[in-house]
Amino acid sequence: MLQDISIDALQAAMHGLSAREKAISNNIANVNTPYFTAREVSFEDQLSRALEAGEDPSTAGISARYTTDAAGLNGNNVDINAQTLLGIETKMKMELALRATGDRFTLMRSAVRGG
Amino acid sequence: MFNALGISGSAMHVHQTWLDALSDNIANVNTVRASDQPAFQARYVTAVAVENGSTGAGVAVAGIDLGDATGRLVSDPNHPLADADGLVRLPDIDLGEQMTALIMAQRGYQANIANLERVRSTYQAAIQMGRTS
Repeated sequence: MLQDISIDALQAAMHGLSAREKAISNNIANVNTPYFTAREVSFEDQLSRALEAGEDPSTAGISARYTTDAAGLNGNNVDINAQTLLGIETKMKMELALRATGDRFTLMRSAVRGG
Repeated sequence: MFNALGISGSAMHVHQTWLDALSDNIANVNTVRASDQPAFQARYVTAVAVENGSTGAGVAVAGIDLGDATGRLVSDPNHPLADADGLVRLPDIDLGEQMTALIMAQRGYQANIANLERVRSTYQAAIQMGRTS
C-alpha cells in the first residue's frame, strides 16, 4: 500500500526539475562569461516513456546537453529572458510536484489514522 | 542539496569583483603621475565558467589583467609633478567603455539576485513538503 508509483514518478520529476534549476542557475551565473555555451536539461520524454512501459520511474534518465543557439559578439549564447522564463516555469512545476507529493502523504496519513 | 544557491553565489562574487575593479578604474580616471612613471593601469577582470558535473558549477574569476601603462602625456606646467617640458602622465582609460561595463556588471548581479530569490523560494517549498498546516 505504501509503495506508491505516483510518489516515485513525482520524485523522478523533481530530480529532473532540480537538475534543470541547477542548469538555469549556471546559465544565469555565466551570463557575462565570454565563450560560454548554455546547457539545457531534458527528462520529461524519458520519464513518460518509462511510465508507459511500466518501468521504475527512478531509472528514467535525465540528460543535459549544450544548446545550439547562436552566440553573441562575446561568444556567449545565454538568452537571459528565456532563462528567466524557464526558471519561473521550472519553479512552478516544482511547486506543483511538491504539492502533489504532499497531498499523497496527506492521503496516506488519513488512511493510517482511519479518517 | 541546495547547489543552485552556491552557483548564484559564485556569480555574485564574480560580478562584485568586476564592479570593484570598474569603480577603481573610474575613480582613477584622472590620477596624475610624473612623466617618468607608469600611468595608472586599469584592471580587467576575466571570468571563466566552472565546468563541473553535467549542469556546470557556476563561474569564477580567472584573473585580473592590467591595462596599458603608457597612458598619455598631457601638458600641465603648473602641476607639481610636471617635468622640464611641463608634461604629466594620465591614464588612457575610456570612460564610456568603463561605464558600459559597469551597467553590464550591475545587471548581471541583479539577474543573479533574482535567480537566487527564485531558487530560495523553491527550496523553501521543498522544506515545507508534507507539513500539515
